Order: sequence, then structure tokens, then C-alpha cells
Amino acid sequence: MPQVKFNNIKISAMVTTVGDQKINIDDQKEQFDYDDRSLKRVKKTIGLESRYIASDDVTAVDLCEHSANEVFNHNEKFKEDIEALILVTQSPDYKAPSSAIILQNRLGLSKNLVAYDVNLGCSGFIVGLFQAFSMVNSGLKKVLLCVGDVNRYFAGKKDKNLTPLMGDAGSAIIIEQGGGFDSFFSLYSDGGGYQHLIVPAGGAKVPSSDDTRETTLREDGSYRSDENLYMDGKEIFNFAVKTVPPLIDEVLELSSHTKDDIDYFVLHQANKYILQNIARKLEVKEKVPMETGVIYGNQNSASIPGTINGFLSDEFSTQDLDVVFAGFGIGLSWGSVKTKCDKIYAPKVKVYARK
Amino acid sequence: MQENEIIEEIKEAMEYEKDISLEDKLEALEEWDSLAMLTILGFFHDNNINIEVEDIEKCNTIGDIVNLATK
Repeated sequence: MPQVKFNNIKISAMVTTVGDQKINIDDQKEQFDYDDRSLKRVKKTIGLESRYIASDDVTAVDLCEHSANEVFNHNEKFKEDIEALILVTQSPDYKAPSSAIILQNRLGLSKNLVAYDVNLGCSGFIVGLFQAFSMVNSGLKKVLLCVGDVNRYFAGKKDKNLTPLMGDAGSAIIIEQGGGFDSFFSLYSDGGGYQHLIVPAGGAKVPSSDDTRETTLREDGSYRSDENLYMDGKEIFNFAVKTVPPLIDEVLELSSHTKDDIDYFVLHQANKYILQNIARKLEVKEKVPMETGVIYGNQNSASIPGTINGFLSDEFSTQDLDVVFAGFGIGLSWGSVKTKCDKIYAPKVKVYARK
Repeated sequence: MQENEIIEEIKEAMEYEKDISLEDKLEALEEWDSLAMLTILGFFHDNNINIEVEDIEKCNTIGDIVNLATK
């Protein structure tokens, strides 16, 4: 089990771009086959109001490019000496090659750079950050980490259990030497739970066919095909509320901090209901932002930066903060980091705009 | 917590308008789904009753859920 300490590595910029289509759940009653009663229930219990999604011709790479350009436009120094580009996404532009390599060219970065995609979802920001910290630790000057997804790539258009939760976003984060402080990571993977959150067909194991592409009504009352993402909501809920609180306790112990020392616990924004339950167990409710899913939707690997840019932009831009981040989900995969963010460039969330 | 208070909460979790009784079987109620389960779990937690989702899954009747809160 990796428990790793890094010294003198920092996050210096973080920008998130969301899709330009704001959708209110009330306007999607028909799409999801809701009656008034069930609509009221999902709004109240899960905490759903609106979400931002990308137009059909806008991809996760576009959203990440938009965010990265915002970083570079703010200060061109951020663009200098980038020696690696990691893109965490489950909705790449092509099955091959890695979209990160294409992004290198589109952003005008040096060719003398390592670039690749990482196939992870809700834990992806933490794992991506771990890779970026590892690279800087091994001597690279600066890493650009991009995280994000567009959900139409895997979520069924009429899947009422999943799609109403999801939003589209892409974030760009700069990691570089400096800061002087220590950061502590703890990471886990459990393939024993792979079937709880899965796109069952369309890969090498179950190749795409007319059958796997057919959308039908499933046992859980949702319409989807075998090439859409399936989620066992109850299993994922159980996994999250049982796994995340001890994980956070673990990084606090590793870093010799208590909950009182931490300014914010920014967790993957699965949905408000799950976050309320995790925060209750942690007994730090007021330090856990949980509105991202309500306003923007579940942004997968972009949800932690999405929450900082969406709700804590002023605090992260002007203060020296002790923070804990934690991601958890598809894989199953989960991880957490205790680090510091000292007046980083973290503007308010951007809405995608075409060039 | 009073029995009728919990029954009311279960009805609300299901957005169910008709009366329900302790003997009612959960599997016969179409509205009893994972969302209702999570709503009840949240209600119990708000009232400092520490149960897990599995405890609710084991329930067969409305009365079993009430017993979770009163035992």
C-alpha cells in the first residue's frame, strides 16, 4: 500500500472549465421518465438542481485545453519548463493515441515532454496528483495535470440513476518544485469491486456489437446499453461511506495533523447525499464543501478542482491553507492527500467558450 | 422516537400517500427502492441512530424498520 511523503513540491495553479449548457433537472423530467413524485424525491434526497454539460462537439480535451490556456494567459511563466503532461480521463478524443499527446501540440508545449492518458474516474485527481508529485520529485521542473470528462461518452442519455447526477468539466493544474512543506499521499485499488461501476461492453473482453449498442429498460428502471456506464448506487454509497473516513484519518495520522489543523477537506463530489454522510462520520461538516454536485453535477476526476474553482476561489487565491483532498470511485480506486495550498492561482470556474 | 413518527417518515421517504401498517411487506411496495432506503438512513442518522445500509436491507416489513429505531 503506497503511503508516500513528498517535500518541497507544490500546486501553483488550478483552473476548471465547465460545459456551456446549463440544464435544470426540472427540465429533464421527460428524458428521465420521472413522475412528479420521483423527481421531488431525487431532488430532495440526493440534492440535484442543475448541471453543466458540454455541447455535443466539445470533448474533455477541449475543456482541459480551455483551462490550460486560462492558466497560461494569466501568467506565461506557467508555460515555461513544463516537462510532463498527464491527462486523466475516461472520455478521450480517440481510443488511441493518448489524447495527452495531442494536447501537447494544441497547447504549443515543448516536444521534449512526456505525455500520456490515465484511465481513471473519481479517484483520478488524487492519482494524477500523485504521479505529478512523483515526477517533480524525480527531477522534472514542472508538470501539467489535466483531469476531466464529458459524460455523454459513457452515460446513457436516458439513464435516470446516473445521467442526472453528471456534469462535464476539465481542469488544468500546475505542479512544480517549491513551497518547502511536506505532502502525504495514501492510495488504494480494489479490483474486487470492478463490477459496481463499469462500462461492460465495447472493450476487448466484450466487443462492440449491435446487441451491446442496443438501449433497453434494465432491472433498476433505467434505460441504457451495455456500452453505457452502469452504477450500483447502493454498493457505491456503502463503499464511499465506509472507505473515505478511515482513509482521511490515515493521511491525517501520516502527516501528524488533527482535523482541527485542516482548513478544508475537499472530497470528490459524488453527490450531496454521499458527502453529507461522509462528513457526518468525520465530524467536520462545516469544512467539507458539498454543493458542486447540486449546481454543476458530478464532474468525475475534475470534481475536486471543480469545487475549489467553483466555491473556494477566494480562499485558495488569498490564503495559506492546510487541505486534505480525497477521491473515490470507479475501479474501485481511492486515495487521499494532505498538502498545503499557499495563495495559488485559482480563479472562479470558467464556462467553456469557443475560440 | 415514537412509532408513528417513524412510519410518517417512511411514508415521506417513499412519497407515499396511502396509509401503511407495521405488517406491510416492503417488497410489495413499489415505492420502496434504494432512494427510499437512503432517505430513511439519512433520517436515522440525523436522529443519532447509527445503523448501516445493510441493516435496512435486512428488513422485510415496515415494522422491521421501526424496530431498528426503537431497539
